[in-house]
Amino acid sequence: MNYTIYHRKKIVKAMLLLVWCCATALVVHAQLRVNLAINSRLSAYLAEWYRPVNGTVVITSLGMGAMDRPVRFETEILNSDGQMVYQLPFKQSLPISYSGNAGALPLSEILQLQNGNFSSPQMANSFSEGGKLAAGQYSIRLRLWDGMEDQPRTEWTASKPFFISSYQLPQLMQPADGKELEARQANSFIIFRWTPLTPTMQGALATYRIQIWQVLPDQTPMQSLRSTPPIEDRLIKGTTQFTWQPRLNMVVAEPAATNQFVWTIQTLDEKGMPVETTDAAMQGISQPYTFSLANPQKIITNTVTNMQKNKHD
Amino acid sequence: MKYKLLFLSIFVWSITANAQIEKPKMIVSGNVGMSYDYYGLTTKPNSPSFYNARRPWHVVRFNFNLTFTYGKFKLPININVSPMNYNFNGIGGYWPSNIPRPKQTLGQWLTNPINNIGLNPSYKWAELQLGTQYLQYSPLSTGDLGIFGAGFKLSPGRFRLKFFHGISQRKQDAIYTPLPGVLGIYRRRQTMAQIGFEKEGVYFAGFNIVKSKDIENSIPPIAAINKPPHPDPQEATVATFLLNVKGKTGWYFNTELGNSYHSRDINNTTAPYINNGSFKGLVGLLKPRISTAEGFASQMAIGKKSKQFDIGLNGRFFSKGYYTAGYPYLQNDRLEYTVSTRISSKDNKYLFNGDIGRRISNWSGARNKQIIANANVFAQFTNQFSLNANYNNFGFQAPAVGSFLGLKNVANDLSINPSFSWSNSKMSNMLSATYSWSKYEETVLPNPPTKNNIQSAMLMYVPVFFNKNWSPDFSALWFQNVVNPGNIKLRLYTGTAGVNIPVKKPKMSLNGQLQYTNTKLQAFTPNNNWLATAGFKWPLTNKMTWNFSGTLNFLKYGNELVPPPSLLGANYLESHVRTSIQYRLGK
Repeated sequence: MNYTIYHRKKIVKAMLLLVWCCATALVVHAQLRVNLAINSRLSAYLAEWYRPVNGTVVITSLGMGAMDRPVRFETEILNSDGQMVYQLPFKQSLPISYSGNAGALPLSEILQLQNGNFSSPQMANSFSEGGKLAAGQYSIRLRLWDGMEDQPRTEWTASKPFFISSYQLPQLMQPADGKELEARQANSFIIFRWTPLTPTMQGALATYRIQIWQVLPDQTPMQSLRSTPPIEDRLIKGTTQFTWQPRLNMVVAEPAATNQFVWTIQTLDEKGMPVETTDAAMQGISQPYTFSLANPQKIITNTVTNMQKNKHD
Repeated sequence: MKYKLLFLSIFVWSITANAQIEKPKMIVSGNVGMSYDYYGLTTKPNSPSFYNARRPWHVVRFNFNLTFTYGKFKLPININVSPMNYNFNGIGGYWPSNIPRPKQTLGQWLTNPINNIGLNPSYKWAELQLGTQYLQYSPLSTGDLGIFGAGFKLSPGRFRLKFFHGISQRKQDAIYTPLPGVLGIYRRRQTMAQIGFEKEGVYFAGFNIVKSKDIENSIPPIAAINKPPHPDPQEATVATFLLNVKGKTGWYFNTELGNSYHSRDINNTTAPYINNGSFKGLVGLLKPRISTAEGFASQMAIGKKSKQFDIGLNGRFFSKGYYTAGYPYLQNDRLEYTVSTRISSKDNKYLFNGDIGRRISNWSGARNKQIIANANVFAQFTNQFSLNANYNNFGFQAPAVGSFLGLKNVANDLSINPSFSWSNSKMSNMLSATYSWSKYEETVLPNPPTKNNIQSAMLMYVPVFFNKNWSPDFSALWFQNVVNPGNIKLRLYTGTAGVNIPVKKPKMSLNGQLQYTNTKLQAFTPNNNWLATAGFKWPLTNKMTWNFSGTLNFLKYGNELVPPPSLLGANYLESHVRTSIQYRLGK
């Protein structure tokens, strides 16, 4: 009897111990799962990756109960040749805490640009050379480490490929900067040309918004551009040429306007959003050019004067 | 406040140090005036909309450009203002029509780019710069923007010192609805300085430094979900070295080297500071963050100018991180170089201008290549006959990147313009013709090229009657653009007649012009356009002049806009009146 009771007690203790161990194991070493959700149109500027629109990292605990134990990240970005572009070693990663059974973090948390290493001397840090990834195909993968002990908490995630479209804005070509056009012809048509957005957008055409301003007296071209509405504002899909029919008074001397114009191109993506530029406030606007119209009245007056002079001679 | 005291003390010191006992006389020169623009638009039918207003309905502007001179003391006053609540969203003049414009505060009105209020009092070599100033320090540092603030310019002997501090960008609160909304723009302060040595017309050597910073709390916070398109507050610092040398024999050498730091985001949460030693150099002027980029730029020009022959070599390079808030639209990551020349005969009757160059954009990446070439020839064969010919070429090539297979654009433009004049005892005649040919091919691989072929011809005739004061002129133009594939044709015919009539009583000159254009696109019935303009310049007194011009622009469409059927024969009438009165002060 005693034997039975003794053994029963032992069995109960052993079972309790087993339950406690299992529970502890589940709580302390609960299995984590990492899901990398990457947007197909990632920003070329790594510093922009904090924005949720670029993607998120979702960490899910598969164990029971809440997880409050911090984690560290080991992150690698490789180019299409398999060469390392950026690495965040887990020992340099800041521990990140999250609560609940799942946490969603912005991509900046797994990059931690201030702590990681760029392998290329040209990108010794993200900040030299524009802090911008060159256009091309890349992949990113991630592994979680314990926040306090040097123990991996997950395997490497599958490499997630992504494409960087590091766009080059159009360069204005024609009329050339500062060009003087013959006014009588120009009032019928002016041909505008610019170089295309490169590389072209995948599966979509860029929209070019051409804007032309007439410069007011006592103003600089840039002042007119920044302060007055454009006299022409047109959306052009795909093509890089525009024939403008100004239909303006370009002959009679204007009392309240000059014969100088300033024009530019704003490039919009397939969603109608401005293409990313160095200064985000510039909204995909290319470097403006000016052109002016030679007053034919002046040419005619000069001709008349010369003729009269020749006659007298 | 520190700056104000500094300016004042320097200015007062310069005046007292150079004060001389003289009997100066106050001289006032310059002009004052006002201008008014009226714009009207009538469309038939009203709905659906097929043509939008392209100007504000009313614009009033006042200008006071005066200089008070008292001995060696000068006070130029430059005031060009508009009392209207003009649209401005921080970047361009665009303001969505469906969003009411908020009223401007006085501060916003003062810093609105349409308004200029500037004072530049100077005494000998010391000048104070107050109000809105458009200061061009150098091509790589600052020069595009007007800044509202205060500063000074000192030029004793060969020493040069400039300083200015102010607001370069007016704030604009973000407006999210109704779409498209208005971008939130931070108030931006810019501080700039130049120090150097100069011998006018011989050399200048100096350093520029420009720092600009957005005031983060100048507008209500913008939620992350609204970025982009709404931008982050930014900060930038650029330092450049400038050297310009000009020799007596016509040789010149100009160069500038620049180094910039630019933080795309200065928010402490989204772009924390970094302290890992990545940055050296200008860290004292800008605290580096994870959004900070460094850039370099250089430009150089060397050449020689003479009466009959010029030659020059120009080159510019901007690394992809180069950014200066003084030229916010500057496109970086490119290298370009050009060789230009001018050759003329001793009597200037034969002239050649030409340049050829190359531009490589996306320098740090796949490298897009451009070739740009221009040539212009002018020949005055006789007193009666001259010829002008112009040729331009540019080619652009972008290599394959990833799934993008590359593209290639090539443009060739040729223009020939002979002019001939003849006369008899009663009149002279001038006939000028221009023929232009242009071919533009856009190729996005692997697709076949899109070919744009443009031809135009213009004939201008100007008779001059020796016994009449008025002088007419006539011109006719033909233009055709054919786009293939698709054989899309656009054709224009334009006829223009103009007249210039000097009137004795009251003494004034009248101008008028009538232009008719017939436009045909594809198989649509043609559009007809009439443009009538008249104006005068009337010197009311020796010092006061009244200018006036009125333009009517009537366009009647064919069936180009159909469907809907209601737009068959749609038309619009634009009216535009501009007038100004200017009073000249001084002799």
